[in-house]
Amino acid sequence: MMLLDIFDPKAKPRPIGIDLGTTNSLVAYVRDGRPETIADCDGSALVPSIVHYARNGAVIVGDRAKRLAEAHPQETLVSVKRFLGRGADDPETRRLGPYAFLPREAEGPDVVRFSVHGKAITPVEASAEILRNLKELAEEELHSVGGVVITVPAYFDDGQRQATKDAAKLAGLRVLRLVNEPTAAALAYGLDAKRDGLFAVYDLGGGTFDVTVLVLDDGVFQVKSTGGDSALGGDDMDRLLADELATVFGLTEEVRKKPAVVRVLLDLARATKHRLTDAEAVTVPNPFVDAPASAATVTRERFDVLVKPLLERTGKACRRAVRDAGVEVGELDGVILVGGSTRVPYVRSYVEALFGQAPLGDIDPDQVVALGAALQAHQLEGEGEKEEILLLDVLPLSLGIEVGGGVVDKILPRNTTIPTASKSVYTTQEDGQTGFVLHVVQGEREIASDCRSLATFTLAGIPPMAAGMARLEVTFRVDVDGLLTVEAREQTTGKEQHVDVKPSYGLDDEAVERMLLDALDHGEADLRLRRLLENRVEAGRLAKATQKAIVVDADLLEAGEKEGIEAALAALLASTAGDDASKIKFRMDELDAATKGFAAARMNRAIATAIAGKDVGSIEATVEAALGIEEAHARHGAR
Amino acid sequence: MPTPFALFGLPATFALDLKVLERAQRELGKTIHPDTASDPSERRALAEQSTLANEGYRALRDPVTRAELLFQLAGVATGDGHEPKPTAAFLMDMLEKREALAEARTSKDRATVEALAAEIRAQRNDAEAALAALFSGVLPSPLDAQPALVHLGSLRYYRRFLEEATATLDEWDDA
Repeated sequence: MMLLDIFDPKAKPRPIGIDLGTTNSLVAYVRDGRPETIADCDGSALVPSIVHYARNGAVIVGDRAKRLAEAHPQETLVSVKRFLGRGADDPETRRLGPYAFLPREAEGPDVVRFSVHGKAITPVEASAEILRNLKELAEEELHSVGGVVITVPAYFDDGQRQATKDAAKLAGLRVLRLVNEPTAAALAYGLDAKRDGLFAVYDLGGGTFDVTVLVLDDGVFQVKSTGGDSALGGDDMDRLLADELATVFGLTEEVRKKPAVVRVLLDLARATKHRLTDAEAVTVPNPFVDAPASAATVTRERFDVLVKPLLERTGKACRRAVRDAGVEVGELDGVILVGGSTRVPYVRSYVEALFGQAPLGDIDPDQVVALGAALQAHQLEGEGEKEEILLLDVLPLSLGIEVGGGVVDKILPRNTTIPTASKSVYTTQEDGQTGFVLHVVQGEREIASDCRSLATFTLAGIPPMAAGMARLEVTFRVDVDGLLTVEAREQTTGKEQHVDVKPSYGLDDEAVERMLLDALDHGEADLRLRRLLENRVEAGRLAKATQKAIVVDADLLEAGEKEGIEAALAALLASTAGDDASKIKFRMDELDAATKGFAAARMNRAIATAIAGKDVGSIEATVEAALGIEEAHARHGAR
Repeated sequence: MPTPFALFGLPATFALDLKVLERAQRELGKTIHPDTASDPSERRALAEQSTLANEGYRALRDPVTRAELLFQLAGVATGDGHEPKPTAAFLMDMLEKREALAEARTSKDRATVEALAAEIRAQRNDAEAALAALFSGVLPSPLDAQPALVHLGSLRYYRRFLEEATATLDEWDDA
């Protein structure tokens, strides 16, 4: 019977869900209406996310690769997800690890490249090997695999999501959807227990941390906010503990840096961490010769002290996500724990203290994400009952464009429900400007250079106009898969540009995981800097418009008025050289007062001229030109 | 094209319970989310509808954009050049409060930031209540919209102020 099944050419393709994790990966499917994971021949559903490249060209994935890691530390890639979608100079490449990296290529995309047997291996390629292995595992069980839902950390940015999709493509999988890990977990919980209410999902995995606040209501999963850190997880606990062990063993700096030593230390640290889940203290024999200490004892108390700073980073993200959701911690009906790292006792007590209630943990935190992914795949392939479940997810990080002075104008704020779109209108800063450069960024910081740069493109060929006359309408569109497209249109000429945003990996090598925390750390400096830059740009615009006006309409100036305006202008320009935003504003107000009568006279003339010419189009244009000063004045007040 | 109010089955008024709006979003999602269809062209059409609905949801959530929508429905232009200028007294008051906020931020004076935010929040609530009253019956005609436009202008200042105050408090909470 079994054999017949295997060779049945008419086997119906079955949808699957894959949790592509930092430490372990799983594949699951829905059988008789219930999700279950698929185990390998050893009976384990957890496939270590480890890829070994043998000298003879063979690629080995999973447990067998894990056993080769110690002997071949540089040819065995562990935790490759931490490098996915990141640039060659990402800080992750400089953290404790045994790998050799190749420098950035002059041509080609800026991605991390491992050096393995002298060949370049990218994180996308290594991830594809893991996915291919899971696909084969599923094929053994289901005979034919259909569409797949792959989960990603909610906090993954566009670049990391795109890289995940690319890996799936390389592995020959048809991706139905990328679903956020906490949302998938909530799906498994919600459907399992038929619970409704307001929930927080705390997802601490091997390499990433997510927190999501969502409402479950009759099969609808409405995400209200999400936050996290895409470079924070159990691996970081291991690194801290590995450093500690190396110190207690008395290893020299030189020995500590050897790839094989690093691999052994990290594995020892991980094993010690696991044992500390049940034991109060663990004694680790020193496996290294030529080291003074024969063993190291780590207490749970010491471990807790080591990892406390990591947990405090998760706490920050949680508090913010709750605030962003517009709810109070006390309103939460439950807290769901996801990810292997939530087995650490200190993590559980920390979460309990943070949310004021004992977290739920009745579904295996290692499996829950894959189970949710399977449910969603089942639904998307039209196998479930219609309207049974629906995920309303959000954009994790704000999207915007760079405007004058390097400031970010946010077009779509974080936590906007997707799919979504938003329009904004911009204008030129210079007279005769015939093109716009649009720089698309993602992140929470106020200054563009501090955010992740996604794309830069140009809208050219606009006829020269006076500054402020062109009207550029920019539309951001985020589809149900979370992917961004940008359209730009100059309204007076109808000139258009449409761009599918393919992230320019690492154009800005500031890592996305740092962006939000940085925004919090520098919030005050940001606001001050932003106000200063805005005021400078505004002052420049105002000065230019005024200088032009007093030349063009010189005859409208009353005796002595010109001198007053020029004095105010000079004072304003002098103030822009300084760093005091409020001083610039004060000088703008002064200039405002000095030009009041003149502006009114110009307005009257513009209207009179236009009416005399009987040209409606030019009436509007002229009035608008005359309004330049007025608008600029009004603008720095109300926004 | 239906207005966001009509889309969510809500009356076109300023007073709005956000929990009711959220529930309406979930209900609407059940019928127009692209995942509810399998045919590609139907999915595309639903994706477009969902995008509009989510834009509408965002506009209704924010009191400033909600008021702007109501003015638009009433045929009243808003924005730079269309709204009455705030009075000198109002501007002076806001200027002083912003300076006080900046000072409190520099001197890490939490109590003052909270007090200022509470004061502005009370003023905002008053402006929202006034707008709710003005928008409760028939939408204002362009001729009698001035009082409501003044409140809208004030709301913009309050929103900006509270954003800055909240950002400051968030940062201290996290430290």
